[in-house]
Amino acid sequence: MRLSRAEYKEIARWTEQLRPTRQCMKILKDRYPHHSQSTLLSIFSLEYQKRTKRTMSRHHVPDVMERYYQRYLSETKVRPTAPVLLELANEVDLSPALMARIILDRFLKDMDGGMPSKTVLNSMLKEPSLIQDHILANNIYQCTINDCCYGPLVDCIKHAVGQEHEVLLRDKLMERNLSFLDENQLRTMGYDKTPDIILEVPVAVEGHIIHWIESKASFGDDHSHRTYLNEQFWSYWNRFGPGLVIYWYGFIEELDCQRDRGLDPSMRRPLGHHGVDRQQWLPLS
Amino acid sequence: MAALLESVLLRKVDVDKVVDWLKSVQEGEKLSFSEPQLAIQKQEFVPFLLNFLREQSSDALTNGPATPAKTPMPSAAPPGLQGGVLPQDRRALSASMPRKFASVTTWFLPRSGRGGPQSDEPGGRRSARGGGHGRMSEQVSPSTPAHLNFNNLEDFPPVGSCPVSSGTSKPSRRINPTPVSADRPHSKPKTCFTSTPLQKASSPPLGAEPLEGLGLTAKFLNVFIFCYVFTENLVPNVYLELFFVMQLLTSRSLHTHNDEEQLSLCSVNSVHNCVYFAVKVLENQFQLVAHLDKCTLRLLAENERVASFSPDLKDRLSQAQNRSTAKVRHVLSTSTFIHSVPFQPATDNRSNFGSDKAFHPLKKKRDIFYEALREWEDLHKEPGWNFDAALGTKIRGMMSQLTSAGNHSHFARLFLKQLVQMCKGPRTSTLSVDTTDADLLGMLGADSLGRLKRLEERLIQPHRVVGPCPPPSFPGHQEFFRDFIQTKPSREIQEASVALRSKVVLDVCAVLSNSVRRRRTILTVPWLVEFLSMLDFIGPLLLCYRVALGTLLLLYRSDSPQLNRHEEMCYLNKLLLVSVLGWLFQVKEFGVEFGPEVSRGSVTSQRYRSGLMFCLVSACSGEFRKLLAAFVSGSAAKSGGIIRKITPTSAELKGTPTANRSQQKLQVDLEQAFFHNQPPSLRRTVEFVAERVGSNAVKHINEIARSMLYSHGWMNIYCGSNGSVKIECELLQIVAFRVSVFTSTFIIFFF
Repeated sequence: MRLSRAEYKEIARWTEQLRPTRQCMKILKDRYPHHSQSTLLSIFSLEYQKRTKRTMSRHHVPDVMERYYQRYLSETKVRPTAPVLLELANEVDLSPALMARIILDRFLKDMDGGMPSKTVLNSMLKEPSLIQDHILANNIYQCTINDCCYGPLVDCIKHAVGQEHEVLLRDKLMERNLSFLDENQLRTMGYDKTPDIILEVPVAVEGHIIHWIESKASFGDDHSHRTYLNEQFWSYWNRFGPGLVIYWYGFIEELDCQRDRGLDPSMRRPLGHHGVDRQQWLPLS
Repeated sequence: MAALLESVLLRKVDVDKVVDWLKSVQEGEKLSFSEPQLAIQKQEFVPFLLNFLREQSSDALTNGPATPAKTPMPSAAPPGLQGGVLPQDRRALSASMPRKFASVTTWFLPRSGRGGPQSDEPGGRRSARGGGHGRMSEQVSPSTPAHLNFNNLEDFPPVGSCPVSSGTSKPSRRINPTPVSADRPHSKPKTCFTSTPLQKASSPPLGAEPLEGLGLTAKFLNVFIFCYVFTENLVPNVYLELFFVMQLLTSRSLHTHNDEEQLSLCSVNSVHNCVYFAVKVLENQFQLVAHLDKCTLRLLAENERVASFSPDLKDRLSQAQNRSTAKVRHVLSTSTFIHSVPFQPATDNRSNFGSDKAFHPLKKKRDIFYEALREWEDLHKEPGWNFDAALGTKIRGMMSQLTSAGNHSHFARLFLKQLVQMCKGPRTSTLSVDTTDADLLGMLGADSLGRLKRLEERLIQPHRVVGPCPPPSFPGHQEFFRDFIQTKPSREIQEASVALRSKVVLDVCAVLSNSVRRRRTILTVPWLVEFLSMLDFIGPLLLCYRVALGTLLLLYRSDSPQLNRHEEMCYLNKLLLVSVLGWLFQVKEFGVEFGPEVSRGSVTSQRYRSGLMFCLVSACSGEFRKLLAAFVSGSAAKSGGIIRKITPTSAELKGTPTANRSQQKLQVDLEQAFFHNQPPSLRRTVEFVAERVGSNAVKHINEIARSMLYSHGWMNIYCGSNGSVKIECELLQIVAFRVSVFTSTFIIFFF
């Protein structure tokens, strides 16, 4: 699904007031009933990440973090079964999963006296039952499952969705009898940069020759597209020539203009959504 | 020789005698004639004459760039000069002569041998290097100080000053070279050859006393024509002279002639005389003129001046126009695709590197390299963009990280492959193909796009005549690679390049001598000339290039005089050689000794029929046409004449429908794209298999065809009417061939 930049900006502006919760996603969906939920969620996720990057420094101050921790301690004393941490995160406008990490980190410092290792921290976030304090474990768990942008659960879902789309892509290519090498094959062959698919025999898509395909199970906005270009797409172009990127959840239609680059014309629209209209749900709501 | 010219003009010397002398081939022959007791060397006379002609016509020449009177002086001052040009003689001639003498360039002179003091003298001309104008206009005193120094104010007083009183002559009155071409900021050592010793501002009234009042009759003009024509073979660049002639033909006088000027010494300084002269030369050099391209010939034939001065020439030009096969090559990039050098696992993957530490940095290098290339493509035409400022740091940073030798070789291979890939195609010079073009290209195909481009160019570009000797250049992407190397990325690279210099990368001497031995100079010299024209200014000082340049010079001189004496194809070959070499020596200043003339045997016997000749000639022809068309646009406007012929391109293409065409193009592009990312051996294999299968298919179909013919009882017809069956067979063969082409296409997809 392609959106004009203006449309995208309007949605982005509207999402500014939303929190990364199930309820808010429902509101977003009702506000834009013509757009698919996964597109809306992907857009929200991109915008929420930008928002977090902007505001994170505000929370990542020792004093502030200490205040959050003390508040958590005092409130759980009063209401041990209430979702204290989730409420606190919503109150201070921080992602619940990130709030959970801050509190857990502080908690472990108290327990062991030293800096907790990242591995331990991550494994506890993934599996709260490892935390000895059951009240904290419950709170962390509530935060994780109620965050649709951050946290191990979301990471896992994103990874799975990405995999699923790669499989989908491979199936489609095989359906059409196209000869290709996938990322794993490329890696074993020692390629230094590996797109999801390299076509052994190039094909033309809407008149543009493509040598490779990259699958992105997300929405393509300016920021992420630019990042992908610099970190991936140009590297692919430098090695294999023009290619195609599939943004499964749509992209800003002005993106596919690489005209100012003066490149191979087939490179001009390499980075678009090609005839893939399947709406993928990101199962978070 | 001024005296000789004077003598000829004064009819003291028989014209025929001079001409015979010029025609004769004996080395170093001097012409002695009684009156002033002079002995003159031939080589001196030609430059003098050419300079003189330009000087004389300078008032009338207002069109186009000035053609340089670029004629070399021999390196050793001939004894004749010493004895011949005495002060009184000099005074006796037009004062402009010594001045022009001094302006003769010295591309044959070793730099050290110039007798150097010219720039130290108060009035000496300073080297013009880097001043935006041609080195050709560098004023140089010929040869050894023991002989005459033309920059010496005492010997050669400024025009109009009293020749005797050296103390009063002011250095400031010496003529300084005038920059003509100012828009070539980059290549300082190379010079566009459009500057000239002609300085209108500096031309005083030419009423130099001694010849005043002679009144130049047609007879005298003829003298010049004869001399000019017969010395044609001695001029450095025939096209340059032809351009000069065209300028004369289309000359206009800027100012109204007053009587005083009319009376002055002028061989070619009135428009009438200029045109007369030009037409006579064109008549005389018709063989050369006839090889110009159609359009130039048409413009010449339609030129009203040609028609009124020589209806016969007009007719001959019209006839030649129909015979002409020369084509002007339009430089247009047909390839708009930038292909990156494909990643080949066989040579590029991790197993080719000793460690991850060696492998991963190179990954980054490749990306930085292409990033720089893309940035260059996007921005290098922007005003004020500077390669070093924009990309220098990036490139130096990248190169400094290439530490191990293995990395160097990998990057060098990438660099080279990309260079060859981008620069081997059709030359992209001034025309950049922007994205609109690429769209159009897809829609119309390259041919039509080329026509559209030319149309656009005609409509929007100002008419600019730049002269027949374009400067050597690094067209298109070559510029990027040159600048990249010149960024001097690191000390190692610099050291390596110094080391490389001492080695011979390409043994030009061997290549050249080999081609001479195998009588294939016609194939070798043109690209060698292009190669040598790109040398920086240190290059020619190296022994291998000096020797090669010396050989080329000998080739040039030995070929030159043969222009008129050979049959058609040989003539074209020679013309090509003479033209490219003339161009080389014109645009570059090499400090090469002008050695003794070699025997005048033909070094090129191979017949070479190709468009190459025409490509070269066309560079000049384009300029001729501009000149002639500019004249028409001025003179024919009143009569409403057609200025430019424009053939519009229709959007609908003949024959095949557009969809079909673009489909075909896509198929071809796909095939190319496929092979591009495969090792080259695959293409060869596929071609081989396709060829074999194709030919077997043809054989097979032939069998079928024959049996069909038999079974249909056509044997009878065969006996009866031989021809028709043969035709049928041929038709079947054509069908078979078509099938084979299809087969080969299929094979490609089998792989």
